[in-house]
Amino acid sequence: MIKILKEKIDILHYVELLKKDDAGAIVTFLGEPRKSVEDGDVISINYTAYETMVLSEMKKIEQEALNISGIKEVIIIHRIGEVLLQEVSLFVGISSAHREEGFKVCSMIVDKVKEKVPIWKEIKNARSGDS
Amino acid sequence: MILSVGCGKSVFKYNQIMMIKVLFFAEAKKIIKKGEVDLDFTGKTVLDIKKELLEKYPSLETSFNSVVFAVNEKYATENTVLKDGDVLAVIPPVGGG
Repeated sequence: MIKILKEKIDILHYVELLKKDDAGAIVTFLGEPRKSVEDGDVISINYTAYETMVLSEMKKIEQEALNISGIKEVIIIHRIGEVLLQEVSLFVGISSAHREEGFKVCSMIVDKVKEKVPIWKEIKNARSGDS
Repeated sequence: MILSVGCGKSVFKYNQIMMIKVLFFAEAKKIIKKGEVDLDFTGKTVLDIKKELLEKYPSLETSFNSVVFAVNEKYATENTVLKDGDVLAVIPPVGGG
């Protein structure tokens, strides 16, 4: 499953969807905006996207993951619009036969989303407004 | 695209004008203050349209050092050949996650 969402991601709902009788592990990654030295007092991140291409690139990533032995289900969700601190901007969830391939594929998907999916972020900073 | 037109023994060749939709995002969109433009295009490749865009919007020069392109929602190279009606997206460095 792949999605772009403007509203908050209901994490527990999507974790439930990852439960499979033939899966021994569920691995999730939750990406969040963070404060950092280089970005100052971050309030939120505004994400924009080339939405139709986001979906086609995510579909490729999902399919590649599902082709790996032991991977039973894949969910990739990215928020667009303003995402506050402690809110989830990226959800990646894997159900797999064993934990090893779950961890590995989850990490692979996050890397590919960051590398290939046309989403951009603009940091909203406490001192300067938009930066 | 080059069309050849016969006229007796003479053959004239000219570049056909294509209509290409160009999409801009993030910094590039802010610089030209538009999300998309329709462009009459007489070139052939992504590199040709990149040069044409830089002539039309010189302020994009710095950002164009780091952009890539997509044609009809698929990543393209500068050698990708365009056809009439294609949608070219200017893709600045992505930052999801």
